Amino acid sequence: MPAKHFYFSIGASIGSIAMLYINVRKEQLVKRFSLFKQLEKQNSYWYLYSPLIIFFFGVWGLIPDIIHALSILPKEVTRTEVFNLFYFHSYFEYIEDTNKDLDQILNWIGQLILIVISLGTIMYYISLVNDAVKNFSGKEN
Amino acid sequence: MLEANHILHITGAGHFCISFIIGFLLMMLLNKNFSASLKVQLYSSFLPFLVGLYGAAPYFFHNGECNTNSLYNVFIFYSLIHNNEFMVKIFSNLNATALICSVLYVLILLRYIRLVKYTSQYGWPSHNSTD
Repeated sequence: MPAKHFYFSIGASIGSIAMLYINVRKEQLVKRFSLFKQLEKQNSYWYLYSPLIIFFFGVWGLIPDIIHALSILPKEVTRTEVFNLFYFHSYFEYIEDTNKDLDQILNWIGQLILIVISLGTIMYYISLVNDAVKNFSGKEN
Repeated sequence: MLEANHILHITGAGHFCISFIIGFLLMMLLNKNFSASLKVQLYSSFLPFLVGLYGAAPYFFHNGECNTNSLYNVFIFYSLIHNNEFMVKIFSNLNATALICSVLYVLILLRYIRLVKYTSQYGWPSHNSTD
């Protein structure tokens, strides 16, 4: 099958887009939605924990494997069409049986996506620190 | 997942994990010794990834064979640990290596979160310049 990290990487990609959107629009989101207003009230640095979204979206893709690993349902069931809800899990499992080369390519793509997202998240925090230092210097002057 | 005693060598992921750990320790050493330098605090986090890739590089050349060229030891003792029983026991388990790398990555991100909060409140001590 495409390895587990492939499914995680699909979710992580979607989560990254969601995280970027939240960070770019955080002021508007805080003004418009009570959830973000509450978050702002609780902790003004709430947006620093937004990469958690990447994790939760990623884990969604692992749910069929978790169900199978915990012996809740057998593999035959977790390969049925309903499990396509988890980022087309069943469709990609079908690829394992029919196209080994594509299976390997998907694994490499998954690894690449995870490396890009990992390093991208670090660069996001680096930009926040640089902005904080710049803003602080601006305030002092 | 195969039991460790059926596996004779570490995969690329295992080598990456071992090297990632070493890179993480180097990163902590750098951060401690250059605590005044914002550039070091910001960019040292790339060290685990670079060291991890460096340590796993030979895996792409020998395609996962059991016996490896001793010259590969230049890549963080690659050949030495490739078939080592103790190392194989720990680092041949993909779930364990993924967990170790994930935990270390989260520690890196938590450090950045602390840094953002600190610089938002106090700037950076060296006259607020990124030296």
